Amino acid sequence: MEGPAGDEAGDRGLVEAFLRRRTEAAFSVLYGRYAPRTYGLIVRLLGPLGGRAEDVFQETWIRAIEGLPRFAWRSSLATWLAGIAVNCCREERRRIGAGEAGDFDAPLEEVALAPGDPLGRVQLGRAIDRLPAGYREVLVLHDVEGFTHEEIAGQLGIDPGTSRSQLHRARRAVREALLRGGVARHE
Amino acid sequence: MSEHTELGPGEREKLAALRNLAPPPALEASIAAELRRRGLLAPARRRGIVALRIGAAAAAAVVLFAAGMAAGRRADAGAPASPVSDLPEFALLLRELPAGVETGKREEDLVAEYRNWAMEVAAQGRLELGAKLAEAGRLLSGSRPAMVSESVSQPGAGLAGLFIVRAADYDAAVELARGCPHLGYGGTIEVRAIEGSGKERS
Repeated sequence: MEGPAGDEAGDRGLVEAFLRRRTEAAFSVLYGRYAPRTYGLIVRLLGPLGGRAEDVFQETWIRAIEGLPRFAWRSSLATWLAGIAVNCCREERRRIGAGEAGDFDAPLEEVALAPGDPLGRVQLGRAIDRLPAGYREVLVLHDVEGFTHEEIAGQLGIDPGTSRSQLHRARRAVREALLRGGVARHE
Repeated sequence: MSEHTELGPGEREKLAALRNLAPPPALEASIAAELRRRGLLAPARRRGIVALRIGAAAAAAVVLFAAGMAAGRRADAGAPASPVSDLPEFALLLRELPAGVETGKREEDLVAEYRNWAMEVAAQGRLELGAKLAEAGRLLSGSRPAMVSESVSQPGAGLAGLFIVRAADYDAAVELARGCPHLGYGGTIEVRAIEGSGKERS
């Protein structure tokens, strides 16, 4: 899968331009480049807590701007931003008491299918939303956002092998949820 | 259930399509306000959001984002120098499109087009300023006391906006300007070096 890393030279230019003068205009350019990606990631990671996405998104950007002067470019800017988003989402879940990120063994709900393509976008989104948080994190970061297992390992504090195995389980869980929903609809 | 959980091509596309979700528009200003409150963003001095009207008959505004500082300020003494920031500055003067020109595009597509170009230039560290000029202003002429009259930008003639960019020389500045979508709609861009801004060469 093609990785999510953007044009590093371009990102460096944007970051340097922002840090040089910290104008709102410079922030706006940086924001414009990464806001849709970051917001989409947060909505997917929060799943059923998606109503908290705006607050988590704002917190993510504030931490990112705070941390920019110390960002050492050991990863891509996209990877770094995603790591901040992951942490903010986890903190929000803990704050609400919605369960730990590593809750891989929670039972899955079936996802009712809509007429048409059994793997349509809406149904797929719902199926992902209903995954346990741990499965959802790995599947979203890898299959939706395109990060490598090495990058995910750094973002989630796990090793790449664990990321691989959890991804396979997450994919299986999504397919099972969609199939059960489809069977239930047709019974 | 099969142990083989690799994604099929259709699945891969559908999952990738879940990427990117536009945040509510008001969030950007809210975040900027909070950053400013925390001292992470410079105080608002001059609008960084600029608009460029396309065509005399167009009602929509095209929004561009400038990644640099206001004209008239120069690099902070403490700011780290970079090769691009040492290059001379050139003004790209965008003139109003001729009367009757229709872009044939939706406003949001025009916005995206100009924004993408501005972002590309900004990403190179070359965009210092982008600004829209009001359609009406003041014209001073003659000796003191100068006569002051209203000026109104004319289609095809008046200045619609300007960018200040950094480039090694005129050729490089012209090459930069070639990418501006304004030209694609029949607009004119005049490139002028800013004297004293560097070792510009014609």
